[in-house]
Amino acid sequence: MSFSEEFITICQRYNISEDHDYLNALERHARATMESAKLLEELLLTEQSPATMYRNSEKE
Amino acid sequence: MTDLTLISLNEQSQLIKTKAISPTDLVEAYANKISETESTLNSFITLTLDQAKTKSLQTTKQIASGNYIGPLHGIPVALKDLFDTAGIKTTSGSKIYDARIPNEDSTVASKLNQAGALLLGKLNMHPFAYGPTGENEDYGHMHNPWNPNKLTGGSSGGSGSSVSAGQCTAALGSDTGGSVRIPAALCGIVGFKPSYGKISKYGVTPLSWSLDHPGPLTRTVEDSVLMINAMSGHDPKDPASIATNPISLDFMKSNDISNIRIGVPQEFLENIDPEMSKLIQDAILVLQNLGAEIKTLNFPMHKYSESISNCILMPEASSYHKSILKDIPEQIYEPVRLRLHAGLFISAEQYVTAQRIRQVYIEQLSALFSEVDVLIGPTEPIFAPDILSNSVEINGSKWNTSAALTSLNRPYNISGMPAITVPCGFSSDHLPGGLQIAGKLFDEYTVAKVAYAYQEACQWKTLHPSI
Repeated sequence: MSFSEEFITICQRYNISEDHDYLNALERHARATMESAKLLEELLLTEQSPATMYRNSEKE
Repeated sequence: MTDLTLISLNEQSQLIKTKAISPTDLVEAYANKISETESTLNSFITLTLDQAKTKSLQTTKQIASGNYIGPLHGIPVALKDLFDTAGIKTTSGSKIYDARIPNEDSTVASKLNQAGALLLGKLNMHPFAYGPTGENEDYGHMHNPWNPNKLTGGSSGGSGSSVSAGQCTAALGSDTGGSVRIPAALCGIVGFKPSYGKISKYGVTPLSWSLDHPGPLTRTVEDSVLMINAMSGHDPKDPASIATNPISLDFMKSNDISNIRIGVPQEFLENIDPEMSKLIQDAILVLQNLGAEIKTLNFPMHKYSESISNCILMPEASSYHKSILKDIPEQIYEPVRLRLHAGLFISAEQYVTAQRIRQVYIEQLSALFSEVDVLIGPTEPIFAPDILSNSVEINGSKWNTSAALTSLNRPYNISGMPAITVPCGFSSDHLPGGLQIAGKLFDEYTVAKVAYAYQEACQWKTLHPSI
């Protein structure tokens, strides 16, 4: 799903019905937020459990 | 003649104990200072001066009859307006809750009351504590006592301005991504975020339950310790609360820190205003001259601080404020509403991933403490920007103001480790800078020891804004 499709889906799910300027600003915020979250995907999961066994052995 | 409103809590306490001054004298002095400065600073949402005056008369009589109960007895304090106070309006900084009067005290309000403190009022704050600048359209923006055109920092902006200007002896704030330390640093005072769980969050409006820490803002290190000691202790009403011992005040016996190893993570010195960088280098020299061993360290996972914090804080905040976000979004201050809506875009998987990565992050940060006793760096990369400035420039690069203000604070919210900011000098524009000192979980003593030694060596505490 593209970011634009995801943005519309989430706005519909939460009934975010604001004016055009607000939605533009929210789109910028949401994009930055999702990019921030994607940074964490750089880290590799080498152990599936327990939760504390997350390791970034290649980068540390 | 000494201005009573600007001496430390510890000094006021000694004067009250020896009956050189009375709590009524103090409350009167603060009422006058508030009357002179509040129209400029806008520190308070609600003043409770009449109740404070009435209680001060009772307290004065109690002490005169030999019933002195401890260091906070008769000390005037103020609380950020997200700590519930029975019978006193508590708004969380939003007009949505302008008519909300809690029936019960938060645990901290109750403990301060039991310790004999006198409540002067409820302090202005960034709405819902969701922002580090000290903006508030509902109750008016907060203003920095060192330059009223500059922001106080936030979210506990009123807590910073009130203590700095001498409107109260000590204030309480809450810190999720720096909200105690940011306004303390920008307003030139001490802010101490103790370890997660040391102070109860019961009766405190949450921003992010797993990152929120209540903490004091004061004029000196020892004052912060006295406040923390009065408020800490296990609280069965807060599931995160932990039983801990009071912090010893023995650190006041000596400024010798020759047995202390201090780490300076290089990542904390990147993207810093050159004048701030100079203040920190000077502070490192002072600590070295006091006998500390200085070690250069690396904390590579700092580059994930903002992401981890955002992926936890934002959905937790959106979840807590879900009802008003759905029913009356137009009544929420727009920048806060944007953040609350943006938090809905973090998926459950991303939230859980962030909580899991948080553990690795804490392990890496904790490992540094096998080499050193405390970590230091600037509390802020910049000095107080203009009110409502959206961006700041650091070494020629443009930064979002909020991102810059929180960048160096987040590691100790993510890890729950204790962190203090102490004043460390001024910019050429006479704006204060802060030195951040952090320690191992529940090792508030060592943090306070280093901070106190630095404070006493430099005496920045003797300088006050001329408001």
